[in-house]
Amino acid sequence: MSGITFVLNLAREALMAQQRGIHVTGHNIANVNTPGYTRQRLILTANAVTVDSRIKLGLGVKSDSVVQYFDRLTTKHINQRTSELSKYESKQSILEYLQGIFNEESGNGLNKTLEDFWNAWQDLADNPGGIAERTALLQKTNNMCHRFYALYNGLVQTKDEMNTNLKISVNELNTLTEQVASLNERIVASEASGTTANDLRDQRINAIEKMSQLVDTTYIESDNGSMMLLTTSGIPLVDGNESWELNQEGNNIYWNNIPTDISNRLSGGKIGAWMDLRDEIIPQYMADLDELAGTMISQVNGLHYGGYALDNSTNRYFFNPFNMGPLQYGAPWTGSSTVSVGGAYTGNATKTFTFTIDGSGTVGTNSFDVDWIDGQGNSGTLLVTPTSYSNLSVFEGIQISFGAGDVVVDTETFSVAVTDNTGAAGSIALSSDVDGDPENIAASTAPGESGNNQNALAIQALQDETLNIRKWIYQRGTLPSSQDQSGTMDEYYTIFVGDMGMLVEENNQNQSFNQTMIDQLNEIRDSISGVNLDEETVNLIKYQHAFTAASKLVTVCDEMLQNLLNMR
Amino acid sequence: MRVSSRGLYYNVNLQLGSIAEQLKQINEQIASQKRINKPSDDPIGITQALRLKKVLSQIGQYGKNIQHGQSWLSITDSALQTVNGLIVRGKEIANQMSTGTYNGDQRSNAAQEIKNIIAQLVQLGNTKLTGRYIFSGYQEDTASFTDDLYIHNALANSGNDPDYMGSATSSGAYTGLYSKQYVVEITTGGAVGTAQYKVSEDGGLNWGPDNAFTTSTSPTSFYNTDDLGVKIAFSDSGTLTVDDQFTIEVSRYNGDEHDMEIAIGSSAQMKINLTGTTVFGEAGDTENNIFDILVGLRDSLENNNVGGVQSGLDQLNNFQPRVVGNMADVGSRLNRIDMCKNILSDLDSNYTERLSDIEDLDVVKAINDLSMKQTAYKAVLYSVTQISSLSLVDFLR
Repeated sequence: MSGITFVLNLAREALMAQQRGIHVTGHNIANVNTPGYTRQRLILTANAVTVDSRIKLGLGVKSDSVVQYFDRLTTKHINQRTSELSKYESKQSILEYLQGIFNEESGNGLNKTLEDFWNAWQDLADNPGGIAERTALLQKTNNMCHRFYALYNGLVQTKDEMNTNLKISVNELNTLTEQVASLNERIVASEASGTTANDLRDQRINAIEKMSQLVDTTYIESDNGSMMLLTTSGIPLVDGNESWELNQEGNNIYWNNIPTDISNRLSGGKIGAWMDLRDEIIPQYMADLDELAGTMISQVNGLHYGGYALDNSTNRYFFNPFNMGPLQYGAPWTGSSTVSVGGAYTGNATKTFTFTIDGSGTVGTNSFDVDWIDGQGNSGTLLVTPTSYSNLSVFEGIQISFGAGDVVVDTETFSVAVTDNTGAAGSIALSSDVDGDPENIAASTAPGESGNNQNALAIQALQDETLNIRKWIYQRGTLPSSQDQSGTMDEYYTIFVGDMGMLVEENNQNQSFNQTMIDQLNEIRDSISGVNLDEETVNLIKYQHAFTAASKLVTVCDEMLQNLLNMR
Repeated sequence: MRVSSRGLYYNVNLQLGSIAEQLKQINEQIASQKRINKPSDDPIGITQALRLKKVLSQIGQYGKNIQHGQSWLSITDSALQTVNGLIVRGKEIANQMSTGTYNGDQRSNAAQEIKNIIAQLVQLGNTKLTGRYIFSGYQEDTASFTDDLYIHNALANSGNDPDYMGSATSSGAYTGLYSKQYVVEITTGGAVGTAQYKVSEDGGLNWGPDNAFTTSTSPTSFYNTDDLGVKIAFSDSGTLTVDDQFTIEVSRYNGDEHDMEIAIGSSAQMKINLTGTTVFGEAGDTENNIFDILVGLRDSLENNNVGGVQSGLDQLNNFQPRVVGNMADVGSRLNRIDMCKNILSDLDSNYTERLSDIEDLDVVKAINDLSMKQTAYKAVLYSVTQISSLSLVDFLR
């Protein structure tokens, strides 16, 4: 059943197919610069065979479908890397800013003011009675304190900004999850007929990549074309046409409005970066800076307190002294007693008083002992009697009180840390004793000796003294821990700056590593999915020529028909 | 591998970006002339640089301290030279006047010159550096010496007696000629009215008899043999215990015995002063106190006492080595401080060089790098124009 009309029909089909080919090529060319666009191609198949007088004849061409050159594996790798890269990139911008604050190379960082501070003490030692030297020392000290504040405030502000950034990122994520859910729905609907929804799929991959920039995600594709999206820690974000919101309140992030903080289960991407900065990097810097300032305060005060001023006064603070930390109950603490600690601490060293109950019973009814130890060689025992159980003097101005009727249990302990360094860097300041009163600086070790510089010499010698200063480690999801680092105060800060540089360098390296990885992966993906204009041009010519040939076929058929019709 | 058109341009962007970043860094380094501009440029380098800067700052400060010490010691040295000159002059006079060829008038003229020498010595003893009395120990804001002998506050010798309970004040107008050191010791304990005391006029070698006192409200002349107008009052609030001791010094010296120290290195300190006592002699030690010696000589000359003049000469001869010894002491300290200064300046250039090695830029290398990167940048730009002009479309009609 062949014939001219049949061939004409075949030509029509061919024209249509080549036109579609040109269409798809045109689509590719048009999208050559569209990010995430996946090259498409038209699948042509030869039409079923017809038998004409035992001769098998082809029935021309049929455009079967338009498919994507899509590389699943590489795309998944890219998705993973994107979240890593985005995390390091986001951290980089903040870290570069922070190290700008701590710029010691410009010559007016904290290091310089510390040097000036110590040198001012030596100038005072050279002329202990000199008001000019004393005034200069106060000025240098103020400069140092202001450097401390500037650094501390820079850290605090940056830390506070993280929550704003987080809010923006979380909102962005919510928009994207909704988008993916709706794309899922449309893809499933449009693919029900058996075709692929190429451009919708491109949009979805694009959206997912944007999500990966926010938080680390992974996805599972089901047979019907729908995608399930989870964070790598397994929190579902999208499933089919459903999506779940995250919301941020203060320092917490909730999933689907369930009041359990999930922030520690989110890592990677911008959200991971903001939280790493907010909960690890910046608090650690703040804590270390506090330790330095706190050590400075307690060490200098410790010597200054025992020295004598020009007016023969003594027991004066150089820096504002610190308060006590909160009371900590030892584990187990089964007693119902709520102990309170008060008094004005007159000591200067950072230390922890630990109290141990010796005996048991009810406060106000029974007598028992409380042993105390300060960890620095001082200890003693307090007698608690039915009449005397509050405002018991311990040591160096510390007092403890028990509540009547409370129960205490033998051998249980509680402790209190004095001169808690938290916030020291933000509050270090000259005490009211010496601020504005340079003659109250205690350069002397004895009263009535204006030329006595021994205390000033002792204080300036602190700069070379090896001390144990706590170095903090902050990690998201765990309580901060610390360990003593031995060295001078200046060294502590030097190491602090070095560590910061190291972190920035490491972050930069990670960032460029991930960038390189992504570039390579993109190249691999582009080698499959990317559009090459020359290739498309060749395809264009190919389809054009085929179109021309098919048109020729129509002409031939037409002429054949004419011939037939003109036959007489 | 298949190359996509977008990928091609993307890569060009990346390459240009990375070279541009390196160009920026080299440019920053050239502008600041420093290799390290922020901690992350070289974290290890910056810790070393900060350490060296700290050491350099300390060295600078030690240099300042040393300069201060130098001027202090130099002025001490020149004061001592003048003191020595005055003593030599005193010796000349004593030597001349101890011979029998001079008469009373001549001797009394000589006494006038000795009087001048005493006044000059007091002046020298009050040598000041930027308003600070250099011979006063820690009492640098108090004139080291007064022209007249002065009754100092009664000091409790609590160091000798840990059970010391009472307190005493001294006063009065001294009528003696020489410096003195009285020691008062409680022999019977108890409150004022019960307690008894004894007095030594020579710093505790010989003691007078026990004596009771009845009043504390006003100072009374204490019982002693020389009775030179020194008065003492005991406080009535405390109880005096046996062996409580007080010292009453009568001297021209108002300073104390403390050493003035400066820091010349990490945990290295150096004494830069001499106290008035070291230079001019202790109170009460008449034969070794230059003022007492000269006062004795002056009186001997005035009284035409040749024997006294002779013994004054002997005492001056004995005293002179003390001055020379002090001069040698100061000289050796000046030497030491000079040496320290040299060492510090060596260290300074050494550390400065090391710091420069760490943080300063090798400009030649940097310029070299710069031109290399520039070439690379240009090369990429060139290849981009070459590649981008390649298109099949150009070959089609």
